[in-house]
Amino acid sequence: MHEAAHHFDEHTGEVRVHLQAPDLPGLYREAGRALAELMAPGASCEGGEGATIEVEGRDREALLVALVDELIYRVDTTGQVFPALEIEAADGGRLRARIHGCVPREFKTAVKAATFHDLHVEEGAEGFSARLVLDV
Amino acid sequence: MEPQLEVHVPTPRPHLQRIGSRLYEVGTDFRPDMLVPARVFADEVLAEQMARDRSLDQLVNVSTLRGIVRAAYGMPDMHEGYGFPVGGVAATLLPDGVVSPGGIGFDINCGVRLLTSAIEYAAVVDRIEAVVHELSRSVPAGFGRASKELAFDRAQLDHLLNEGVPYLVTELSIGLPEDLERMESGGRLPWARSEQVTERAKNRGHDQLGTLGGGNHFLEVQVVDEVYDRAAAKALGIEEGRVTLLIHTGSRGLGHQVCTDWLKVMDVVMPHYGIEVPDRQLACVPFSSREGQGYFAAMAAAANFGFGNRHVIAHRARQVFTRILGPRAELHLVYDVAHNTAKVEEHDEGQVCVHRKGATRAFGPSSPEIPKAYRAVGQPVFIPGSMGTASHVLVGTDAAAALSFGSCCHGAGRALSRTASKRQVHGATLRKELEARGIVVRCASNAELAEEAPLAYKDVDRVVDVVHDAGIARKVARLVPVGVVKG
Repeated sequence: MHEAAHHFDEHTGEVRVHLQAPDLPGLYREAGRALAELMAPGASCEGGEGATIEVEGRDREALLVALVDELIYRVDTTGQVFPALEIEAADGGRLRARIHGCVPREFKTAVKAATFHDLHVEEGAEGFSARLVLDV
Repeated sequence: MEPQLEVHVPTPRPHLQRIGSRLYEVGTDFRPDMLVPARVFADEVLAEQMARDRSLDQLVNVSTLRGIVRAAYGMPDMHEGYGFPVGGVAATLLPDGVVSPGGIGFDINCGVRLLTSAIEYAAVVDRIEAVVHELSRSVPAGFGRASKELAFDRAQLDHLLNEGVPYLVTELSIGLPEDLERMESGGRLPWARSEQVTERAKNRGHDQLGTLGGGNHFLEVQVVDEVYDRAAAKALGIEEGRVTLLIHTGSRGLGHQVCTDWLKVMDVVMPHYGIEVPDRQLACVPFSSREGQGYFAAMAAAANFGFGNRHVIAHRARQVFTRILGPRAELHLVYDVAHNTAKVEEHDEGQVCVHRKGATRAFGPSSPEIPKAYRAVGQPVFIPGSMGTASHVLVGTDAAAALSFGSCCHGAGRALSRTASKRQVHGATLRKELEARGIVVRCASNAELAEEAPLAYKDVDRVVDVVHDAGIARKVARLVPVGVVKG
């Protein structure tokens, strides 16, 4: 089975994130972790402020974009990053998660939006994988 | 049963055929879903660079949009974007041709404002560092930086979104009344409706007015290095040896959120209109539809924020210039131009929605839409280079309407990713090199500096020559940097 992991592809003017996880909730969790690492590497939010978020999307791909967009929105409006997510529910086009945030020492990469460009979520024998392009 | 052999047939890549001295094309025979050809303005070197990323594939995708007319155009600085390539132009026939947020981009009305002064650079060389230092202190820059002094309440923000720069001038005494004559659309897109902008977008933008943001945004103090067209330069108020200021920024988090919000809407409703797109980022709906009109009004509101953002920054810059350099250093606005918008325009095909993503208008002298002061020469067009390279001033031509829907490129276009640029360029060394050339640099980190190194961009002089040779816009002047505040 996939271990939860992510890596970034370089590209002109954008960042492409590759995600993998044993299951779909794990994939969404990994997306949050990847975003936080990209924006503020090493930020640890243990015991950080918690909040519950809910997003909608017409399919898995749209749900992934909606989740990442929600996190970007919260970064921009609170100045916090959210590396830790607990996925409470993810079905029927809705996702509910508990997120924990903290203010990082510095931001490394400004991520402004998640795009639908080259977006892909796939289920395979080893679990789930996804590809997501971020506007930076 | 015999095992099935899976044969992977790679998708063919589009190849450019030269059809003019500076014009190349991918014909509609390349793919059956193309409605018009994909055309790019380029020379051999730029065409070869375009083939290295997927910008041509993206332009071919654009050529499939419902209602598109004439061609999907790529400007000489074209490079890969999301959905539309950056440097892409497409016009869709109204009322039912589509409108696509991807054809404008996330940073709605990212654009450029150029101001001139009567100050000779040679007379103030030793004070440029102080100017740049004060600019960096007066204009918040970098990701998430907010404006403590100018956080709008909801009512004020709605006024700005609906009324644009005239609201800032008449109600808040920011900037000068004469600035409005020298802004694209007078600094206001009148079809804006703030109620089509979500609370989320307003939450992101309410305290970001007058801020630079990050990435490739900048303030650049320059000197006019060379004038190519004396008559046009005189009309624009540009003189050799004088100090100028270039501002590059857009609608910040508000614009990004507007694009995000409406892409989501269109992704859901698009099938109801029987529309399929080859790239989901090209999500679109008929312009005349409820969602199409909603997005167009929200986009205009975000565009008004973008105009307002550059206007407030210019206001602060004016204060810095006169404080440091004296009353003769008053900055006069040459023009403010948008490079991520959609507008309804009349062209040969009829009334169309022209999407310009990383592309600007380049209207000629005959256009009633350009400032009266420029009707003898044409609309100013600005093509900034990267840090350390020249920026160019041009004027649009009447011929541009037939060539490119009156459109021109917006910059040099990225050639390298940020990571590749950081790998090849040592930020601290670059800083020293720029400073050794007399360019004062203010940038939060050397890593960010390396991301925006000249090496990361295409050759701006080459890009400008293509535009000039193609007849889209005429070269007027070349400006070189003497100070940079990087976002």
